Amino acid sequence: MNIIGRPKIVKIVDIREETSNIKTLYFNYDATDIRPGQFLMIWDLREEIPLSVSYIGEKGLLGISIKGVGETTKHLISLGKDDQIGVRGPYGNSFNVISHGKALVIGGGIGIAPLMPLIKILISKPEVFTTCVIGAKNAYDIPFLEDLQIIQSKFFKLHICTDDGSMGFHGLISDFVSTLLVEEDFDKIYLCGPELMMKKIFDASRTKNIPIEASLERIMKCGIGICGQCVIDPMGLRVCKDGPIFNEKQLEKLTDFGVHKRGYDGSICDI
Amino acid sequence: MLAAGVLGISPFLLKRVYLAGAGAVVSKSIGPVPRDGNKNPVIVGTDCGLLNSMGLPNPGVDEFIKELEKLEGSNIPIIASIFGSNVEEFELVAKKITRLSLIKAIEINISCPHSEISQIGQDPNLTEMIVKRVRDIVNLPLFVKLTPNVTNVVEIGKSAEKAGADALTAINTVRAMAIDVETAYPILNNIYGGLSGPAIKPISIRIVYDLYKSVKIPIIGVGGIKSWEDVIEYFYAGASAVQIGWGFIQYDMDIFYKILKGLLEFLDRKKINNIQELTGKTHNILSKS
Repeated sequence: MNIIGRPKIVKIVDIREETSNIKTLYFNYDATDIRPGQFLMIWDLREEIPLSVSYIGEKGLLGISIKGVGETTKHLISLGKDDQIGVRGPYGNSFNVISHGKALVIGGGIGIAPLMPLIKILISKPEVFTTCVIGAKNAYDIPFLEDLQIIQSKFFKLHICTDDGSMGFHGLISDFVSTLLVEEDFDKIYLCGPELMMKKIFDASRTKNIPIEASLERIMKCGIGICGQCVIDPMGLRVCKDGPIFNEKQLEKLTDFGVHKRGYDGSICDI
Repeated sequence: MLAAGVLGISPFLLKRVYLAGAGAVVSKSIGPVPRDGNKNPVIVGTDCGLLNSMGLPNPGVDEFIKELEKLEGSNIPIIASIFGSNVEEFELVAKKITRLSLIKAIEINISCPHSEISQIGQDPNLTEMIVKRVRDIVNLPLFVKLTPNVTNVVEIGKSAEKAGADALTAINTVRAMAIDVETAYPILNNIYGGLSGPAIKPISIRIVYDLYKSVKIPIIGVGGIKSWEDVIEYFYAGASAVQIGWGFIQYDMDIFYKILKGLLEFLDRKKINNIQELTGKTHNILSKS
C-alpha cells in the first residue's frame, strides 16, 4: 500500500561532505510529487530514522543531509558510493511557498537542510525577496555555506551567525533575528533548527504577528500517523502526519513546543 | 471504538480521536514499568495490510495515570488496555489504573504476537487465572482481547468467559514477517511482527462467528475495518461492537464520520431501528434454514 510503504532499497550514487560530521547522501528514488519540508524514513539495514529531504533534483535524484550524532546517523555518514539504504515515503506536509513579498528563512545548524529545497523555489519567484539566516558554533560547522553564498543577489540576502564569532554575527541566531525583526518587516518566516532556538524566534515574531512555518522533529516509530509516538500536545498533533511543518496558529496552542518531548517509552521529558 | 495501539499513547491524542466521533477510545497497552519497545523499523506495509512490531512501548502505569489526570472531568470514555508479564503485574496495573474515573473499562491484552507475553493468550489455564485475578479486583467492565495465533480460539474465549470477562475482543494481530528482496534482510528490526488490515478481516470474521456460537458474553470485533460494510459484516458474524485501527491509516480522523454515515444510511434503508438487532444475524439465518 502506498500510504504505508515498504522500504525500497536504493544505491547511494554520490556523497558530499558538508562539514566534518555532516554529509549529504544522494540517491534515485521515485517520488514524483515530493515537496519541500517532507521527510523520508531511511533504513540503514539496522535501524530506521526520519530524515528531511535536503535536495530535490531532476529525474528522481534526492539528497538527505545527515549529521552524525547517534548510532544510526554516524553509520549513515560512514557509508560510501554504491552502498545500499532503504527508503520509504515521502511523508508529512510541506512548506507553503509564498509567491510574492519578503521571506525570512532561518536555519540553525543542520536545520538549514530541509529549507534548501524551499530556498531553491523561493529564489525562482521573481516577486519574492528572501533573507536567509544561517549559523552554527563556528564557520566550519555551517552546512551549505558556499551554496548559499554563491546565490546571493538583490533577491537573496544571506546573514551568517557563529557562536565563536569566526564569521559574521558573533552570537546566537535567535539574538540576531530578534534585532532583524525590529529593523525589517517580513511577510513570512520559515524556520528550522534546535527547538529552543525556534521557540525564541517564534516568541520574538509574535509582536509583529508574522506568519511562521516551523519544521519540527520528534522521535518517530511508524512515520505514518498511527502509533502516536511523535505527538505534540495538548493539541494531539503528530509530527509525521499533521506536520512536520507547523504554522503560528498551531504553535501558539502547542504548549509542548520548546518545552516537552516524548522519549522512546512515550513518557514526557524536557527538551 | 478506537482500537488499542493506535494513537493511544497521549491522552490528548485520545481526546482528539474521541472528538472525531469514536464512541470510546482504547489506550495503548500499559504495563507496570516504562518500556521503550522495539527499535525501528517497527512497521512494514503489505499488499493489504501492515505488519507492526512496536513491542508494547509505554510510559508505565504510574506515568500514564499522571497524564490521564490532565483529562479528568472531561468525561471521555477511555478503555485502558493493560498487560503484564505475570499475574502480579496484571493485578498491579489493573488496580492502579482503575482508580481514575476516566477509565470506563479494562481490556486485558494477552495477545501481542511479537512480545514475550504471547504465551498467556495461547494457554487457556493461564488466561483463566489472569482474568480471574483481575476480575476480583476490578469493578469495571472487563474485556479480554484474544490472539488468533492459536489452534483453538474458542477454548481461550471460553476460559476468559468462565473467569468472569464481560466481553471478548477479537482479534489481535496475526504473527507474520516480511523480508526485503534486494538484501534478504527481514525488514522489521524485531524480525517478527503482527499483521493487521484487510488481509486478516476474514480470519477475524471467522473467529467472531465461532465465538458467538460458544460464549454468551458480547463480542467486540476488530481487524481490518475500513468501511461501514466491514462493520455490518462483523455484526452479522456475532459482534455487538467494533474497534477500528486499520481504517485510520487510510482515512485518518475522518474514518468515524465516514463509517457512521454509511451505517446510518444502511440502517435507514433496511428500516432497522437499532444496530444491535443485527448481532449474529448470520447465525439466525442458518439456524432457520
